[in-house]
Amino acid sequence: MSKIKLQSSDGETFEVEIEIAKCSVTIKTMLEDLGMDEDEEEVVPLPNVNSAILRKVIQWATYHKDDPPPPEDDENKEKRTDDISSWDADFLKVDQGTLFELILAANYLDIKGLLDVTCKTVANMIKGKAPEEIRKTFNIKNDFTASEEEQVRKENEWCEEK
Amino acid sequence: MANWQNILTDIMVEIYKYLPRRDKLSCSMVCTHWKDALDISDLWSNMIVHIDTDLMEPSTIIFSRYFNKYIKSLEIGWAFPQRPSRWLPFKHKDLTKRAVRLFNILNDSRVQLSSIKIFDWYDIFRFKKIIYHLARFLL
Repeated sequence: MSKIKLQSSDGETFEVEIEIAKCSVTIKTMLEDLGMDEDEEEVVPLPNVNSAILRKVIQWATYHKDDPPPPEDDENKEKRTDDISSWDADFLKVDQGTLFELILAANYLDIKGLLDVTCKTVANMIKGKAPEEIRKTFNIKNDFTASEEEQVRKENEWCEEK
Repeated sequence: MANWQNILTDIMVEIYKYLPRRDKLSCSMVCTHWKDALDISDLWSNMIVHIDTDLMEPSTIIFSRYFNKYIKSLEIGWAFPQRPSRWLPFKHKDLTKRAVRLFNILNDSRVQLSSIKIFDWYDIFRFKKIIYHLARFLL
């Protein structure tokens, strides 16, 4: 099995089977565009992903390497969030900073399966929470002006009026 | 440091695709960026409304008012068509009022639907006023 080297933003290199690396559409396209010869010892730089996150991404991609390609999105249905596999659920038992970095990496590397499962995890953290609880969970500052807040309150009221 | 407040809009949209409208409504009140990220046609092009559950809270009506310009198809029906009416958490007069309000919003906005699907309907006689307004909207 031919291998390829991936270099993280902090300079660490990881040797990965080429088929595993190619689950990232970004890397796959890069290899095709650059016409990298699979026999050569090329190093693919990934300036947006640090070594801790890249290690996690490779771990995920290795476990899922034989998965069938994820189904096309059906925009018409509300998507489920309760179908996260137990392996993925364990894999994503990480602190919130790591989860955030994983989403960014999945998005940058264009790994749909990983982006789906990380977004589902975040959706599950949001479900059923009030705005103030969501802010607390994700450490977000309320940046609405008083008048904007007042407007939102009025709109909610409008809905309830008889 | 994770900066959820300034998360890329594309990623926030992906997360929104997994959230029901009532949770989207909570998110719209979290911060301005999260609110703005809801203004994407993909999130609203197909509207599925369960009269007996979705109209129990205001999110469906609020978002129909904000984003009716994006709505391309509507599916409307009941989540629990077999339930006896005493199970309804609402008096049916109030529920009818809300459904009519929704149709009025769609009517006033002159939304151009390419398809409408009516599924699992409840007791037609008990909610005949909803049927009447639905028919009126369809004309």
